[in-house]
This record gives sequence, C-alpha cells and structure tokens, in this order.
Amino acid sequence: MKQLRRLLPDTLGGRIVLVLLVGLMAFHLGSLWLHQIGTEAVLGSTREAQLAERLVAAKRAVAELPTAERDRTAHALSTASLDMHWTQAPTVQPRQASSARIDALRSRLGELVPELDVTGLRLGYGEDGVADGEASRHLLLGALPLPDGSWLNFSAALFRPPASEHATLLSTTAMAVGILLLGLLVVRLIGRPLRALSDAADRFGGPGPVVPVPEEGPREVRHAAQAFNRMQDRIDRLIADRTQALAAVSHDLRTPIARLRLRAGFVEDGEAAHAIDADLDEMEAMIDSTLAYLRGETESEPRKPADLVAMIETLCHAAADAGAAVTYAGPSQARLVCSPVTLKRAFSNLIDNAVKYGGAARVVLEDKGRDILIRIEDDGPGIPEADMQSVFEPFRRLETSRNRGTGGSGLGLTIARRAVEQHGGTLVLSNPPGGGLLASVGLPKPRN
Amino acid sequence: MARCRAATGIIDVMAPDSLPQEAHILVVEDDGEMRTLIAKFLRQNGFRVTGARDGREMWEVLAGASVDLVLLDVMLPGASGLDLCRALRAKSGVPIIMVTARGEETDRVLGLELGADDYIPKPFGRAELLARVRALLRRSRGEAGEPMAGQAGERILFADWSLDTRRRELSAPDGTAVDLSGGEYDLLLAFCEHAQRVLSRDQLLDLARNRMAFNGTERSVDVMVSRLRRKLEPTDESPSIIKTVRGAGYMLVPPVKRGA
Repeated sequence: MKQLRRLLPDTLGGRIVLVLLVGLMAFHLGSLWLHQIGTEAVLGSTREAQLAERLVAAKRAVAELPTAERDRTAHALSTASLDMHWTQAPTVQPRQASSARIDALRSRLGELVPELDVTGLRLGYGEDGVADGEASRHLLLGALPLPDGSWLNFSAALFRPPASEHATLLSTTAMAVGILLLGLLVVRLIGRPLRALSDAADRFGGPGPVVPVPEEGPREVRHAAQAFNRMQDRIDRLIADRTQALAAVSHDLRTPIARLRLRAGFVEDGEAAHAIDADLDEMEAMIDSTLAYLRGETESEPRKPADLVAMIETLCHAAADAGAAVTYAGPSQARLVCSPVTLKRAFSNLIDNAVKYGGAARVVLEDKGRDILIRIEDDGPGIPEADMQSVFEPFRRLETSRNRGTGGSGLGLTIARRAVEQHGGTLVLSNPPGGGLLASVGLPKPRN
Repeated sequence: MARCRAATGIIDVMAPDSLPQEAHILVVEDDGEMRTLIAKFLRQNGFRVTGARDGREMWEVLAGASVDLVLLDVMLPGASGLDLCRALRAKSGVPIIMVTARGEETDRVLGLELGADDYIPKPFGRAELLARVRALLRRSRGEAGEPMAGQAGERILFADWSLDTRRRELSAPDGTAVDLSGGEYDLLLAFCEHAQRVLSRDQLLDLARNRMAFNGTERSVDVMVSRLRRKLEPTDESPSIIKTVRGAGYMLVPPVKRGA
C-alpha cells in the first residue's frame, strides 16, 4: 500500500493526468480486445461457409465415383483443416442429447450453403467422453449421408460462434460508461481533501472549538491546508490576546472601583455620594457582564439537575423587592438538567432588560413535556422588526428609545442567547400585537 | 452588588447595640490605598484597625496584639490569602473574612473550606463590609450560643434535603439544585441551627441579621418564610418542612443532621 502510494503522483495535476491516462489505456485495451473478438468471429463464419461449400463439393465428387475409388478421392480432397474419408456405415453416432451449439452450427451450415442437405447430417465432438464443458471442444466430427446410403465422414476445427455487430457496439459503450463512472469516482476521491478544507473554512468562526484541517491529499491541497491552519492559529491567537486584554482591563478595574466605593463614603455631600454609588453600580455591572461574556467563550459550567422555577422566582422576588413590577406565573417546580449559574444569568438579563426598557416583567413558565417554555413580556416600546437580529450582537445597543440614558454594556442579550443555545434551546424576540416586547425561551429536556 | 447602600459615610445599618466598642480588626491587603481606605472607614464606624501588607506583617501583628477579626485578601504577594487562611486557622480560632474577586467561585469555596468564616466579593459596598464584619463579630462572641456555620465545610441534612454551607447551595431529595436568595439562605440556616424549635419573628430577624445585612421588618420575615416554603414545599403532596405556629412564629419540622 505504501509503495503504491509512493508511485502516486504528488500534485493535483499529476493525479488527474494519471486518472486520464489509466482511463484512456483501459478504454484502448478494451477496444482492442473487442475488435479481436469481432475479427475472430468474422473469420469463424467465413471458415464455416468454406467448410459447408467444401463438404458439398466433396459430397458431389465422391457420389459420382465408383465405390472402390471413393475413399481414396475423399482422402485426396482432405486438407489440414478438413479431413475426410468414405465408409459404408457412419463413424459418428446420432447424438442422444441435443446440444445448442451443435444445433446452432447445423442450422448455420444449412443457411450458408442451402445445397448442403442438413437433415441427415450427423455432428459430434472429436473428444467425446472428455468431461470438459462444451465450450472447450475444438474438434468437430461429422457424417454426411450420400444418396446411395453410404457416408462421407469428416473432422474439422471448431470456431467461436460469431458475435453480432450490435453486441460489439453495446459492449464498447458499456465499457466507456464504466470507465467514465470509475474516473469520476476517483476524481471525487482526489477532491475530497479540498472539500474538507472548504468545509473547515465554513465552520471557522462558528460555535465550537477551532479544529485544524487534516493536512493530506495532493501537494497543492496539503499546502493550502497548512496555510489555512496557520491562518486559523493566527486568528485564534489574535482573538485570545484581545480577549485576555479585555478581561485583564475589566479585572483590574475592580481595584479602583473598590477604592472609589470606599472613598464615596467620605464625601460630605450625601446626594453626590449616592450618585457616585449609582455610577459605580453601573460600572460594576458592565464589568461583570463583560467578564461573563468572555468567560462563556472559554469555560463551560458542569450540568446538574436544577429547579428552574426556584431560579426564576429568586430573580423575580429580587426585582420586586427593588421596586419593579415583576410577576411570575406557572407551575411551582420545573426540573431541568442544566448549567444553573449560566442559565440564571440569562434569565436575569432578560428580566433586567424587561424592567429597564419595558417598565415591568411578566414571566410565564410552561412545561410542555418535551421542552420548557419561558416567556418574558414587558410594557415597553418593543424593538423595530429590522433590529430583531442585531440586538443579539455583542456590544450592540439600539440608537432608539431603548437605550436613552439607560446605560448597560450591550451584552445582556448576547449572553442570554448564548447561554440558551448552549442548552440546545432557542431565544426569540418578538413584538406581540398588544405592544411591549416578548422574549420566548425554549429549553429542550435532555432525553435519556 | 451590595444589598443596601446609605448615602453618608457613617452607615447605620444596625445599631451597634450589644457590640463592645473598640473591636480590633486586622486588615491584610497589599494595595496601600485600599488598606488605608478600609482602615479609615472601619475606624469611622468605631473599630480599632491595624493594617498589614502581607503574611509576614500579619504574623507580626498577631504576635503582638489580640485581634478580634481578620479581613484577609485572597490576592496577596508571596504567600496567598488562601495559604494564610489555612495557617491561621490551624493556629487560632480568630474569625476570618476572605476578600475574593467577584465571580471567582473557586476562591470562595476554597476559602470557606480552608476555615474562613465568611467571604466578601471585591469590589464591595461599604454597607456590605460593615454588616458582614458586625455579623461575624456578633456570632464569634456566641451571643445566642449558636454554632458557627461554614466551619470545615459542613453539609446540613434535613428530611432528605441537603444544604451545602460552603457553596451556599440547597439540594432537593432527588438531588435537584434549588436556587435560594441570600436572605432565604440565611433564614434557612437560622432554622437549621434551631431545628424543631419555635422561632418568633423577632428571633428570626435577629438570627438572620447576624448573618448579613438583612434589614427587614417582621412583615418581611413573613414574606421571606413564604418564599422559602414555596421552594421547600413546591406541591401539595410535599411533606411539611416549615410549620406556622399560630401566634408564636415558625418551626422547622424535620430533625437536622450534620454531615461532611
């Protein structure tokens, strides 16, 4: 196998030329072979005609002669390909079992030379008693009755039955089609690494870890795969560096914020201290969500069964305690195997959004058997249809009423959607007919 | 996020009623500014404060004076806060509050496992810091003779439910994690520490206040208990966990076991 591989040309062009060459050669050899068979067949039918004519001539000549000279004349008319002699009784016994080949030969002889009376003709094989199949017989034995009841016996070489022109054409076509299909298959095989490369390029940047493309196939494809892997590495490193820088900045900001928090305590003006605290809350929330967003890129929380209702109720109660109009409606428990912290953050972001932009949140949970549906509705202005997708982009905030003076990091929905999708679920935003915004979360229950 | 924040420097989350004044607090923090600010803030609220830059300075202070509470930062140069916490716990029973980076779950769990009594995520609010310091001081003086929760990473078991005091997590009998708010957790812990005893609303308020900045009224105790009950007894068939004793208060019905 290895040696075979070494014989294989290394370049894409070389391999295609090889396929072309092998295909052409196969076709050429096949055609030659078919031609050979055709020629042999034509030769065979010519020989048969010759045999029939000579038999007719010999029969006539021998029948004219007196009995004493008949055998000598028969011998004199013999050649290497047709041996004849005369006897009173036939040397060939009538065949018991009829043979398709013998019958076909008999009728063909009759067709070729109608004068040859085939009704009394006895035909048989020269190697009777040999157990081999009929196809391997080469010597034909025959006995031709003369008008006076004596027999002209002969033996001749057998020929392959002729194939029709029609069959030759058909087999050439079949062969060409076969070679074409085989060629296509091989070319497809050659192209496989190239397709793997394009698939990998399509996958790149999507969810899931970066997978290097296998560097195999012809040289050009191998080089392209290597270049692609190097590019993928570079982009990956670039993103990782940026992520790390962003995470480091966010992380380091906590120390000055912690200092500021304490410092605000020494501000004499109570109102100013309160305002500073509110600003710090906002900064902290932004840092928290940025870090949560970045963490989600690299880490995944272990799964365990958790009660979604307890989770949502905790969030609703906290929001209600802070003075927001947040209600929960639904069953008193709903169990799901999930990553609780990740999922809680998603619901927290959705409820916060509803409160911030919509002034209220009505949370409804429904257990649908196969999955759990959670709807979060608010009384806000909703989102223009055109922006329904772009609100999920990181750091994206709409330049409409939804963000005026409300701050936020622009990551809430991004984090929420990613968390839900990590659980195989969907998060869809819509503007219900009654106004407001509806966030629908569907979480499938894992099947065991 | 701090649970409540007042506008002025001196925060009156709760009256420093029974607290003996001049409790000595050791602040171990490598950031000089931060150390000064914490010290200034705590002094303003009636504590005696000593600062230490690292483990070496901490041991020096501990050798020379009696300390009522240690506020220990996790991120320290040289020996980390976690190592110091373990070494400190091995030598003395002084109450320890770990200061962890927010969102670093592992630091928190590890800190509590290594013997810290409480933790506070950084950046913290002034009110939260003060409330935690006061609550821990109260508890360490054993006013109610209550056991210290969180020591050596306990698991509290009642009626097949399990409360993990390291992770602050509640698990249902079938292993499902049931989310609790901070207030609900503190309330449940108070119930567990006084199982099968009737607790009045006043007592519950007091107990919960010892845990954290729980700034509620008797009415809010009722609300909190009903929320907790909804999580512990989700269906009508669920066994009764918290019983209302008419005119007296509430009681945790099942017996409590402590496990590892």
